[in-house]
Amino acid sequence: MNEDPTVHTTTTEGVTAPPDFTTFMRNYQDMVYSTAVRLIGNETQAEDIAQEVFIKAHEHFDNLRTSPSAGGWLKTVATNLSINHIQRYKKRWSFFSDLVHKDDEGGEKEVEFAAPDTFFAGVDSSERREWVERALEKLPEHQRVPLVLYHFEDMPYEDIAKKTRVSLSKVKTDILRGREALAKILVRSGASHEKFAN
Amino acid sequence: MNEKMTPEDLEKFIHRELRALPPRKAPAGFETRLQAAVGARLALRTQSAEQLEQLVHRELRSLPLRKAPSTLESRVLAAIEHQATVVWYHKSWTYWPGAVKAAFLGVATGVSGAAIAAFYLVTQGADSSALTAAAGERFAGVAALFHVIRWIATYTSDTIASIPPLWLYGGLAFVAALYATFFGLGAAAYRTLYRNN
Repeated sequence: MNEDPTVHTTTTEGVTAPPDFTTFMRNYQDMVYSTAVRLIGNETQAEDIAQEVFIKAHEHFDNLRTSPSAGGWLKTVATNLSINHIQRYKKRWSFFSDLVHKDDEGGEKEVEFAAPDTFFAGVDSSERREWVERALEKLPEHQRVPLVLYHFEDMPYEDIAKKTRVSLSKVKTDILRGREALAKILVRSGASHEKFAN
Repeated sequence: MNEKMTPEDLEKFIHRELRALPPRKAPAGFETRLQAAVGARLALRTQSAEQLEQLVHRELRSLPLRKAPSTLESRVLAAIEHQATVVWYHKSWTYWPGAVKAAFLGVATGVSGAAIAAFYLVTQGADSSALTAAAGERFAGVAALFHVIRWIATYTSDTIASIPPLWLYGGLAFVAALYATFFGLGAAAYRTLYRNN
C-alpha cells in the first residue's frame, strides 16, 4: 500500500527515473491524493492539496526524478500541506463551529467493539473497503487526523502531538476514541449487511 | 363519532381501540439481523485496546490507494503552464533572477547605509536643515507625494468635523449593527447548513 509506484527508465547511476514530469505525476498521483484525502476527509480540498504538492514537485523535479526517495518526499509534503490546510481552516472557522468536544478531555472510556470474526460477515472485499473508507471520512477531524498519521504514516504519538500542536495525552485519547468510533461504524456495517448509502 | 362524548369516554374509546390492534408482523430478515446485532453486541467489551489497535491497523493498511481524480493531471499541468507565464516581479523573492536579487540587495544595503549615516550625522550635531534640504532636492517626488497625502488627510478630517456628532455616532452604530447581524447570520448558516452536511 505504501510502496513507491513503479518507474520507467534507468539512468546511468542505476537509479530508476521517469522520462518526464507527466509520467512522474502519473506514478505518484494516487499515493499523494490518498494521503491528502484521508487526512482532510474532503475530496475537492484533497485535489487542491495534491495539485499544490505536484507544483512543488515540479520546482524540484531535477532532483526528484532521479531520487529513490521521491515517494517519501511527496508523501511528507502532502502530509504537511494537508495538516497546514486543516489548521488554517480550523482557525478560520473556530468561531462558527463547536470544535471543542468537552467529553474528549475526560478519562479513558471503556473500549467497545466487536470481535474481528464478526466483522463484515458476508460482505465482499470491495464493499468492505468502501465501508472502511467512508467510516474514516465520517470520523471527526480531531480523531481522523491523528489516526491516519498513526496507522498510515507510522508516525509515533510524540511526533503526531508536535505536528498537530496538541498535547500527547489528547493525541492518545483521540486515537483511541477514533478507533472505537471506527470499530462501531464497522460493527454496524458488518452486522447489518446493509449496502453503504452514498 | 358521538359528538356528546366526554373526554373520559373519548380516552376509554381510544384506549380500547388501540389495545384491540393485532401485533404487527416483523419485516423479512428481521430476526437474522437482530441475532447478528445481538451477537456483535455480546462480543463487545471482550477485546482489549491492543486488539482494537491491531484490528484497526490491519483494516486501514489493507486499503488500496484512492484513485486520484482524472482532472488532477490536467489541473497540475495547467497550473505549471500558467506559473511559467507569470513575470518574475509578480512572484515571490525565491523566483527572482539572480542579477535582480543582487541588485535589490545592493540598493537595499545602500539605502539602509545612507539612513544610518544620516542619523549618525544628525546625532553628532550636523546641520539637520541642510541635510533635509539636500535630501528634499534628491527626493522631490516623494515630498510632493507626501504633500498630497497630507492634503487628503486634512480635507478628510475637516469633512468629518463638519458632520454633526449625532449623525456620526448613529452611522457608526448602524454599521456595527449590520456587521454583527451578518456575522451572526454567517455563523447560523454555517452551523445549520455546513455542519449538518
